[in-house]
Amino acid sequence: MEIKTIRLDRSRLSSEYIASRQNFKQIVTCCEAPSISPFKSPLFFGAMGLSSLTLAMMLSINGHMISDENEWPNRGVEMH
Amino acid sequence: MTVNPMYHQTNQRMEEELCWITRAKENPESFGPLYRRYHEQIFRYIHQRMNDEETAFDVTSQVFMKALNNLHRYEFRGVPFSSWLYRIAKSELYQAFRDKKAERTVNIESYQLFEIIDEFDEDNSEANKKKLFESLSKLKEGDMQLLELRFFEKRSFREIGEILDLTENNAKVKSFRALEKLKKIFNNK
Repeated sequence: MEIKTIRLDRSRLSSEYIASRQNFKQIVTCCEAPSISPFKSPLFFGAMGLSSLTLAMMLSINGHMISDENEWPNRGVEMH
Repeated sequence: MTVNPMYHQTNQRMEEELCWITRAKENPESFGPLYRRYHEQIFRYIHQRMNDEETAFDVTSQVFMKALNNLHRYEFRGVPFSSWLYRIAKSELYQAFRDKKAERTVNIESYQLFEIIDEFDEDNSEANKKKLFESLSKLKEGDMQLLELRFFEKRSFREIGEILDLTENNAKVKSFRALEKLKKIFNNK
């Protein structure tokens, strides 16, 4: 980067003037609340974890029911 | 060379700031004390490096907005909060130069020039002052940055390192090299 100008003895702004230009309300209103990515949120993993567990349980129960249904007719055949 | 006490951070001050940061992470309104403490320092850092006062105030606001938005990422690792703010300020400042919102300017006081002339073991004449002023314009941006932080603002090498992302030792070596380069240009004039 090129340094365009070098200035000597520029008048110094007073601390009072700089303080008078503070605008904290503007800073707060312009900023959204700190947002955490949904993928990093513990709530996301909680919800995902619970739904995965429920799905796994349902599949497992369903699997048992299907295998039970398949087993009975076979037994019937064996008995004959 | 003395270090400006304005930039010195005590442990008590850092602990107090950590409490404010923890609260501000929950509620942005609690960022107020940090904003009031550092607004002037950050503004002066920016205004020192550009000409336009209004743009300097705008860039200062940008720095605090960015800091507040990214506060959840801030983790204390022994580096004062002010150094984190200065890093954001440096990045926003150079973004303003890239966007052509501002022109890079170096603002120096006469007494600061005489202090450098003293470092060169030369006499404090007006001729040397003029010679040094002209020599400064031949310096590259990186060297000028180091001279501004060390010799004009009198920051410690540790703080220079924290702002420029260098080790304390590296900041020391690079600052003296920048001064040597300036001396070389000065002597060749």
